Amino acid sequence: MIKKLVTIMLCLFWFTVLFILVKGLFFSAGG
Amino acid sequence: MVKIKSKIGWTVVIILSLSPLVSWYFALQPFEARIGNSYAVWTSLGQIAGLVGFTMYAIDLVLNTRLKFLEDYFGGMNRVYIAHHTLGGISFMLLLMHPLLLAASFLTYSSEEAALLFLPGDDWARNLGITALSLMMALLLLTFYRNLPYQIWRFLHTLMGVVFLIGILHSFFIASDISREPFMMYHMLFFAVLGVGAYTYRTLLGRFFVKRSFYSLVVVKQLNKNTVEIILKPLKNPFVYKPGQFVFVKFKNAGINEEVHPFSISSASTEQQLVLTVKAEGDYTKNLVNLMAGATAVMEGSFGRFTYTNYANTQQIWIAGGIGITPFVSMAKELVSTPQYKVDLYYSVHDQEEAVYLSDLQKIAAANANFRVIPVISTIQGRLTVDTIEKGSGRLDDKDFFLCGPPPMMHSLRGQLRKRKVKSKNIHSEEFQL
Repeated sequence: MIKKLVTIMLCLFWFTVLFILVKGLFFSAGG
Repeated sequence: MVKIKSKIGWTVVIILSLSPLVSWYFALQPFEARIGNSYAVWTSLGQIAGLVGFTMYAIDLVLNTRLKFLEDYFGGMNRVYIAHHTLGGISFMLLLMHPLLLAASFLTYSSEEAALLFLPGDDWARNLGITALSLMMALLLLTFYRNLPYQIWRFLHTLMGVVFLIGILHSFFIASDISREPFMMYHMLFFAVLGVGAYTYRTLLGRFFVKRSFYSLVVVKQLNKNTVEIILKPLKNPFVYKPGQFVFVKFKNAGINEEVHPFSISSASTEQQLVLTVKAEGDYTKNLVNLMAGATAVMEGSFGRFTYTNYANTQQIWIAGGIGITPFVSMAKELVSTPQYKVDLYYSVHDQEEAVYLSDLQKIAAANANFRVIPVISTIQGRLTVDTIEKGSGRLDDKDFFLCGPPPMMHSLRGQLRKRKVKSKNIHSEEFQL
């Protein structure tokens, strides 16, 4: 159970981090 | 009473884990300012995730110490380890949330600032945070998802303490409420010291602090194609144990890997020799038949609360599935010294060959009118159900039940017993998920 939750959380983490990195570094107003 | 006490562990863990919320609430800025706008709300949530995650990490290191007092508050060392596993997972998820929530607060005014949060920069304290989280993820991925050789797995798990140390440096040196507000600093310092103390006691200086017993291997007896009995005699610091308990064992210079594993005791506490019964399921346990006589067994124990004399009700039903018979063998051997207990043991096995202890138990039953053994061979009689038990032993609601076997079997029987109005406090089980 906890292993499944951790797996889901890890996927969400990386998805969000990649999204923030791409948005912040390539699509921000100043970037 | 035993059951109530065993619930306290989780209650204390939850209260301690959430305690940083109190010092966070009373930190420098007024509470209203911390929820005044979306930036403040995301920042507050990020801080709380970090503080609670850090605290849980520290408590998790304490749960890993195998200190015996923990057993009383969780209902056995096996349950302490289940709590350790669960708390570690929750702590990890909160620590993952910590930078995400802080990034969300930055996103309210600059997506570039938010992105830079995840990249190393000039702030060494933040870099340490990135290092700790990256290391934690790498270690967790390797230990959770890869079937690594035991020594490597153990070494990687040991490094989780190093991650905690890096996390401490990050928490105390980054510009935050911990570095600004003394009350919060001392609060978190308490948990930092607790975690470091636990890690030092168990991992760094375990060889000096942790009490170990030494036994010598007499012989390994093969009971059937995948079950062995390991018979040992005491050499130094023999431990005292109750029937139904288990020990952590490592064999040295024995011709097999020096791994630490928990094994159930199947001898009576009054016997001179210690007997462990093991089912060969993994690479290590399959190798146990190759143990050499005279090898030294280093033991830590004894652990577990699965002992019939811990409960006052003398009318008991014991239910064993397969190798789950081991603690009951130990208990059955001791029944003669506690004649007030009246026990029916249901021994569920797949086939006759799996019933390795049936004849021994039948001999004990023949000499004790208060003990009955009822074998249930599932390939012939079908699965053991509560109906079978009721037919064999009469009313259920006045008895205590002890379950040890495969998890699906225990889960099913527990559910059936609860449907028949057997109180949860009267159902005791031993889970092997260490």
